[in-house]
Amino acid sequence: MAKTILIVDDSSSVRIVLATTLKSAGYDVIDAVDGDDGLSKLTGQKIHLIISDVNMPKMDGITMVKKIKALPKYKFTPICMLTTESEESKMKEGKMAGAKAWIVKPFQPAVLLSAVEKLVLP
Amino acid sequence: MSLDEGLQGFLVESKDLLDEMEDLLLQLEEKRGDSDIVNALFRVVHTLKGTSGMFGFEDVVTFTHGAESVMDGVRDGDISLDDTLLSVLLSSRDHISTLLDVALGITATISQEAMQQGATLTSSLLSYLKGGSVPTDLAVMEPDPVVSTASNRSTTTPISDDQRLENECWHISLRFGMDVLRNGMEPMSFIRYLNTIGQIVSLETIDELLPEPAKMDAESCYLGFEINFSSSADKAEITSVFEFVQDDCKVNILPPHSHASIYLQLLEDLPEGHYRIGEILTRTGILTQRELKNILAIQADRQDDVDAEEGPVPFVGELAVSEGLVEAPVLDAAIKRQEECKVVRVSAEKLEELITLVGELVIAGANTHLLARESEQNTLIDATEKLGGLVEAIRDTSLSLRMVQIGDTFSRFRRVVRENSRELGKEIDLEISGGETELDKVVVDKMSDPLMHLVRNSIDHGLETPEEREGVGKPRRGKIKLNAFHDSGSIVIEIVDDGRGLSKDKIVTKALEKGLIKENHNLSDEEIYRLIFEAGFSTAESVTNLSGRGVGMDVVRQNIDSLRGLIDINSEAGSGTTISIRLPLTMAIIDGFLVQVGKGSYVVPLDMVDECVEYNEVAHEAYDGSQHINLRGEIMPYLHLGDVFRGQGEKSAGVGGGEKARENIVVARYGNKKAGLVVDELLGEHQTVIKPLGRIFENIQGLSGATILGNGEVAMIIDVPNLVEKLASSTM
Amino acid sequence: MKISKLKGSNKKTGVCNLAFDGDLDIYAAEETLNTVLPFFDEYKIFSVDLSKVVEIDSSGIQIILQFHRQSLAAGGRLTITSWSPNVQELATLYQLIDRFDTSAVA
Repeated sequence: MAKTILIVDDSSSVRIVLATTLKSAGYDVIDAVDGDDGLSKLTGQKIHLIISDVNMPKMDGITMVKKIKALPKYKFTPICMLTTESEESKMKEGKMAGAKAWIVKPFQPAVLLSAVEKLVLP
Repeated sequence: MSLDEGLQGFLVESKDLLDEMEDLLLQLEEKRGDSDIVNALFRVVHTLKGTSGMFGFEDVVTFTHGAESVMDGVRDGDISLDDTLLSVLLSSRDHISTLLDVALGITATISQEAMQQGATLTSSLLSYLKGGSVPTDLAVMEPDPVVSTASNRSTTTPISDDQRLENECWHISLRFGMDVLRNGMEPMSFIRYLNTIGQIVSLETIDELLPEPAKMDAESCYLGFEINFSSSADKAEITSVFEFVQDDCKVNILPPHSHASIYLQLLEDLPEGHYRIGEILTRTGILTQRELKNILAIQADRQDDVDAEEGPVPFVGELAVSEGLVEAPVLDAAIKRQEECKVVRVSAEKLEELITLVGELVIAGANTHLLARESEQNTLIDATEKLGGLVEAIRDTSLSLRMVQIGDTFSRFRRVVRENSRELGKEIDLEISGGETELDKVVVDKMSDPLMHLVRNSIDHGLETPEEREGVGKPRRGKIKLNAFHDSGSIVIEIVDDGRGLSKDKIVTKALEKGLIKENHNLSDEEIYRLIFEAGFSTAESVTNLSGRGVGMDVVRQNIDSLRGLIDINSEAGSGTTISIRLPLTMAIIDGFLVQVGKGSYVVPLDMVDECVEYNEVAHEAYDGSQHINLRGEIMPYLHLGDVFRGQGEKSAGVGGGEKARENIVVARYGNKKAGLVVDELLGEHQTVIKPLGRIFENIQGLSGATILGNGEVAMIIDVPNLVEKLASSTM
Repeated sequence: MKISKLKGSNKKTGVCNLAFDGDLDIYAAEETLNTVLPFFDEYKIFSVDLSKVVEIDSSGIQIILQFHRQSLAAGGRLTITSWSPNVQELATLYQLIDRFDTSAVA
């Protein structure tokens, strides 16, 4: 059974790259445009990994992570933050909140997959 | 370790591996089914591929992978090892060597020809693979990570006995922190991921830290893993697998062939205690029994130092061994590898520098000692004597650093014999003995080419075809023996064949033809044989591919001359030829015997000095006009060193003069010949640092070098072999 | 996660036959541990059917390891009578197949 990944990013091009790469590797993908939208997609189904941008309108990634960690059904879901080199403090903040994995933008599809596969194989 | 140093190491290591590969392939030819050799060969190819991968030499990795897969098939019995495959593998070895040269920048580009050959070899290797099963790690080599993941996922990793004992693996030790599961990090994901960049050879799940059920927090992680991991990935890549848990997990990654003390460090760092982990490490084949013993020894040492008061702690090794957890037969190869790991590689250049400095130290030391003696202060003399003893010890030790066994050089000829005998339709066995004999690396390197010529000469001219041999009642298979041994301060290398022997008549005819000798020559057998080393001499009736080109044998002699070596030929028509090459052990520093002739000092190498007698005590009547002495019934030629090295006008004092100076005769010996050297004064032993003669002295016969004495004067080193030879041949 | 005690379980003999049904993962870990905790005091010979386990992760395998540990400590044993593909895969990855008694697995 394919593993499901939720991607949360306000940039549609990033979402497309993420979704295309992940789908081609055999994952199922759900996407959301910001933290608020992300939380709304968590409706009880099994999610194996959440990949989220940090800076987003409405609800930023870190707030979303904190909220996810309070959801009994999703609190143990691995979360991977999409950060840029300059966002090191954000990355630390994300780690504190419970998102232990990260991918630095911009990324090559192969780098994305190698990070994702360490967390959940397709 | 910088990348450059890593590359340097790789350069040396890959060369060794290629040599080993060749050697193993040739051994396989004789012992076709020997699984030890097959396993060893697989490991060598595997290591070649792995280390090349570490340095990103993709071309090498890609090509070597084919050979590795085939060897894997051979190991599993899926592919049978026939003559053709052996030849393909031998050629593959050569091609790997070519590729490595390009990768390492030794050759600039790969030739069209070599590329063509690579393609041909790859397709021959592939043709073997199509029949048999493709090894699982083929998938790992696929560049596309998605594909590799998919194909690896369902594959479990069986542990074969071979792999258990294979000591070529990374060791990964993991202790996950309590919070990893709560953080969504799943140990099994990381471990699974390992299978996409290599192969888990063995894994042990450590649950020692699991608390009593009542104290257990089901969401905490108590697991650890000891993993034996085979991969061409580098440490950074393996480390990056665990980057998301770096704060939450104790990760220890030990490269293949890590030193025993690093394992001990690991054992001490782990929370479960030595015993359990030691047991696991041995059981999973991560440590061999021997390695365990090493660790045991280190641990015992530390135990003595640190806590003598506390009771004995059960040592990892003792327990593991006594409880039968470790089986005695550990692959010799694995042990050998381990031992090799204790060898430190030093560049020849640094060694050269050290030896030069030691040479200067010897001279400076001698000077100090001389000054001390002149000052007549006894305490100072004692101190300099002690210093002198230490300097001597340093000299010996540093010279011994440069001593290498000649065996490797010998083994290289297996292939030469194999290929050249085939080409000529001859059947030849190569016997090697004395391979453990050590001599100066400089000498070994310079001997490689001359030996090659001599061996080829034996194959080409010496040994007959099987038919010819049967015709004269010899066994079909000819024999070439390479032998080395020490003999009174020299090393002797022998090349023996049981072929047709040298034909004196042919040599003489040829020599006349080439104008090397005159019609009415009066040459001894040995002198006739020696003609084959003259420039432009070749007796081969047909010029073959191998030798018989009329170049080579004279180069052999030049090379050996330059090493202060001596060639001896013995041959018997119909039953074979023996060529002995006598070489000095070292090139840099010798124990010398200092003598005075007129105003000059000379050094005679001490190991060539038989004895010293007073000139007047021995009869020196020239009974047939030449100069001979009779030393206790032994007749030997002699000469006055003064006559050789002094101008004609400056006559030596002793001979026929009115003054009765007490001259001495130094009896020098080289090989089985002796000669007397008349000198004015014996000055005693002297550590002699050999300095090459300058251009001006190059053509002076009888001198092999110079040295600087403690007082700064220059002394000439007598070329005893040359003098003895000359004397012996001119007077006998 | 539903854990059923099967026929043949007997406090006197120490035999306990269990069947697990559902996810044996971190979301269920606490509940599962609480359910099985009393068994460790009452039984020592465990037969466990894992054929209906859907998801299993390291937290789940820790509980199985705890069964193994407790049964051995009490002089009993742990037999796995059957397992689902996911359990088998993880046990294989962690190379636990030889540690557990799995001879009953078809």
